[in-house]
Amino acid sequence: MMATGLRKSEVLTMNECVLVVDDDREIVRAIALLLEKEGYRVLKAYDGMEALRILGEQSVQLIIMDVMMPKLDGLSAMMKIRERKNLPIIVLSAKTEDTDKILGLSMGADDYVSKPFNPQELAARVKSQLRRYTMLGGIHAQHEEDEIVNGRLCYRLQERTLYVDGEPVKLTATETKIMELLMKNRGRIFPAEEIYERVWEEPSFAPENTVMVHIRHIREKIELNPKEPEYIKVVWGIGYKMEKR
Amino acid sequence: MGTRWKKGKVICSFAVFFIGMTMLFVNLIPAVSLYFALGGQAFQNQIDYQESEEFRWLVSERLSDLISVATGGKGWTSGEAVTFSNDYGYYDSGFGGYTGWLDQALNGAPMTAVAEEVVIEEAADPAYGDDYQEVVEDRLRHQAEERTAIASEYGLDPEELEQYYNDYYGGFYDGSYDEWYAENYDEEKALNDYMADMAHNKNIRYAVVYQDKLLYSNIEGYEEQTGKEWDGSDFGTVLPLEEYNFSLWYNREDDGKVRIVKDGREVDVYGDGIYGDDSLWYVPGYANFTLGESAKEARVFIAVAKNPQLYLVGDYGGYGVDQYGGRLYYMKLTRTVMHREFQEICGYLIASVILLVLSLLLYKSKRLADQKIADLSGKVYLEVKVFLFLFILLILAGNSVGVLSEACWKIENGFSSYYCWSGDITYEISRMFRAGAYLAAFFWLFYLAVLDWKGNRKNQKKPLFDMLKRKDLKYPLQKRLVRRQRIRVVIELVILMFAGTVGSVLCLLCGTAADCMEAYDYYGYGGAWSDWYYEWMYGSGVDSFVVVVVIMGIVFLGVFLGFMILDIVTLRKNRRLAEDIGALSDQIQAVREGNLTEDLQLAADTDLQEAAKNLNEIQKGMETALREQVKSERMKVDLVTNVSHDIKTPLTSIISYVELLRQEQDLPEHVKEFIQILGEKSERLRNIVQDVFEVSKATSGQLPIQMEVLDMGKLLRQTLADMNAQIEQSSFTMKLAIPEVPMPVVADGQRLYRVFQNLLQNALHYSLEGSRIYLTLTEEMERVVVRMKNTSSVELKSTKDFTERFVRGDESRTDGGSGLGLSIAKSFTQACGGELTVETDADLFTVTVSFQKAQTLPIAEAAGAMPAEEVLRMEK
Repeated sequence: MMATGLRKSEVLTMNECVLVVDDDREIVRAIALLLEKEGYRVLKAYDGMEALRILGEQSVQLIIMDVMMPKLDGLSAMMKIRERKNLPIIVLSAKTEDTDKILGLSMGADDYVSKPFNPQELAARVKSQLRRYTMLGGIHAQHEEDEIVNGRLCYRLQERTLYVDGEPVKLTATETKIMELLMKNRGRIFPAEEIYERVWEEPSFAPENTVMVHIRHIREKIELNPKEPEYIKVVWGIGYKMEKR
Repeated sequence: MGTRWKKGKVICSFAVFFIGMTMLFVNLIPAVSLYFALGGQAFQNQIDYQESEEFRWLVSERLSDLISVATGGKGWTSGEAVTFSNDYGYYDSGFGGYTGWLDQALNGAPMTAVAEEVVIEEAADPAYGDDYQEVVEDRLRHQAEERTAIASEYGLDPEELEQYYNDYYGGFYDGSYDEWYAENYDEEKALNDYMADMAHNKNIRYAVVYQDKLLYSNIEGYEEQTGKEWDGSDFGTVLPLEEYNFSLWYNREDDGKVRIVKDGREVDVYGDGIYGDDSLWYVPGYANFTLGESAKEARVFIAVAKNPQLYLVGDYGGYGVDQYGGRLYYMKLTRTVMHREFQEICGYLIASVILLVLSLLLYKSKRLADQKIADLSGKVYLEVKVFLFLFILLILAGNSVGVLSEACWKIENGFSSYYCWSGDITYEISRMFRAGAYLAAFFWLFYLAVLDWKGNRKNQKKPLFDMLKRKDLKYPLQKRLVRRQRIRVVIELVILMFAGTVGSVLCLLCGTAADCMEAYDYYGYGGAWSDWYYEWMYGSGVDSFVVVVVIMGIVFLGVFLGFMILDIVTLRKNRRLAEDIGALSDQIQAVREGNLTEDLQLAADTDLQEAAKNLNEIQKGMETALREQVKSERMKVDLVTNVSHDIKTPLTSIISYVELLRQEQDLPEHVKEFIQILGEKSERLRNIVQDVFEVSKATSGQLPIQMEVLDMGKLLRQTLADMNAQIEQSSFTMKLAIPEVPMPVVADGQRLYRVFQNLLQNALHYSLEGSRIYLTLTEEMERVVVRMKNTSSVELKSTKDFTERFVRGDESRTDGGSGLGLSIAKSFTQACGGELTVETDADLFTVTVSFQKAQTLPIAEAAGAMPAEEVLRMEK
């Protein structure tokens, strides 16, 4: 315990503070350990009321919060927080259905992670959210004409460069072409043939495999969890699309 | 007070209606018959008996008698006078009573001569045939037998009796009379007797002149001048006009015409001058009613009294008091009585109409009274009521038929023609009242029946009928229907037998009655009930053959009516049965379609009540079962959800701490290996939990589905591309046959991807090392069919259903899957509206997924997509 306390005071001065709220103390502890390894300052709370109290006392940059908790549940606490603060909130829940996810997001959550989660993915999401919150806040305000911004992604047409959470990502020429097409037409479904013909500029024959290989590579570079992609999605039986964020 | 007044009013209203109706019916027939009998004089203040057909007929008769007397005393026994008026009432001087013939015969005047002659002539006439001769002979023989019998009974001398008998009856029939007649007939004496009788009747004054010589007269002052020259004076001048207001002159001016003066005014005798049916006076002088030479020299004067009297002459040396002038006297008396009665009846009728109007004004109270009566009659059993109704109806019909037919006859023909003799007109009218009373009784009988039917139609007490019905309902349906048919046949037989019996009995009776009637005609009596029949037959004037035909017709009609009623009853019952069958089959259809909430309601006494009840119970059972099933399904999903949630929380910790462990630096190699295993297993556990959750949702139908048109070929290629890494890592070769042409289906792409992902993973997992996996896409019979074949690495048991949850080809359960792959694939396919089947043939494992082919192609520009032109612009 002493060691933890020490480390906490260490990062206090230099790093962002993350508040972890869950009624399962072991989970809170595990998350705290993981995040502290990543270099964050971590505060712990075990129900909604406690979370609100800590928020009132200390400066917090991000909240990770479980939905089902005693005293005050996660969604209600989130609504109360949202009345005053604009900090990113990642919701944890054992409910995995789409409706639960949509409900959580619509009530003010910035991200939704279902239990049981991959600890590294969670860490990546925390990092992503914090970057956008602390660094990209300014960029949002002054984004330029030749920029296409979509959630964590930002494509600069002039540079032909893709930025993820503000950091440039290295893409191959084909990948860049695919990303440019998809970023320009966010939300539109492209059949594999069309992507192939436009990117490779030659007639296609059953190009799904080829296209998919490149998409998989792109996903690995831009998605937090490539297995559950959030940006480039397959519309099964029809084609591919860039999700609008 | 109020209720008592109301009650009184109710009783009063009905009493008023009852009295009014009864009075109306009782008086109606006498009123109508009297109205017709009185002719135009019904509503006059004073009755003038001379304004009647009978009177005119009597005057015509008398005139013709006197003319024939005047023409020489021969005309009235044979020749003109007889044909002039072939009626034996002809010589009647006006006395009533049965002794007429005997009296006359014993007085030595064979008054029956004319009629007798006719009878004998008819008998001899071949036109009447041998039958008639036979009948006459038969009759005579019968008479002789009867006489012999009576003679032996009373110890009389047969011959003496025969003489007496002949004198009494029959002069009518008996041939012996002819001999007597031939021997004893003194024409002059007969004429003198006749004229003497005439003279006694002071109601009719007459004078007969022939060849200007006064032959006969009973007018004071002229009686002495008979046999002398007529001085040409008018006999009427000596008679006071107020006493004899009617006078007739025949041939006074040598013109062969009749002049009638009534009340000082001349009467138009001839009208248009041609004698026809509508002519009032049957007298000579019409253009088509001329006279023989002898009659031209006769002149006759007749005057008739205004108020006829009875003239009685005490002939105590003979048979007591003789009566003269009765026919006119009774004629006037009868008509006066009829007139008085008619006026009285009119009074009653007016009273009854007033009462009826009153009851109409009190119709609300009267309706209450009707209701009360219906309530009372409702307490009586229907069977009793029907029996009483039929019984009373029969009694009434039996008793009233004679009187009613007589009434009809009287309305048509009037009273007086037949009954003016007897003077007993009051009796005749009372018979009409009887007819009216029967009519009223009929009315009340039917009124009560209708009242009862209207008031108690729905809730009749009918224990006997109900008992039969209850008994009927105890049988099973098929037996009941057969039984009903059988009962119908029995009823039909009973009707036929009854009708046959009644018909033949009636015909027999009719035949007997006809015999009786003949007997009545000939012998004066005919049998026990011939009086009634005689009355009826005589009244209606129909032949017995016609009666038989009518009876047969009525019987036939009755049978027909009975069958019709039976048919209608059966039809109604069948219609109801048909309706019930329809309702029942509709309900079965509804149950089949899943409507389990509405019960089938049939009336309690219908044949299909039992079936309906059973169906309702089945329905209820199904509903309960379904509800239970839905409930248990939901409970199962709830359980799985809760369990998976409860597993997920500790699993989160496990995964997290495994990750922390993995990040630890200074651990021995074997510990790192353990941590690796922990990681893999916890990952698998996570997959299983997710799969269980999904499959339970899918099988309970709670999986959200987003249906859209998509291309099956593309979906398969996408899935293969998605799993490319896995496939390439494996030792298997994919053999694909996926055509480029679009194969559109309507499904949820995400779920369908999971289906093929699972199927492929399954194949990659369980196929024989180094073997090939075949994936084909075809279109078969408007269906898009995906078939995947692989060779199993372990032996397949053909009895196993691989799509069941937690079933796997390999029993050991130690492989990586959750055992839910195929189960998820199947339930997801079904959720999307497709079919998934698994076939095994030795080690060949075939999965077939088929979908209905969609009619439209998938649209690439889904919702939220950019318009096509923008895409083009950006391309540049």
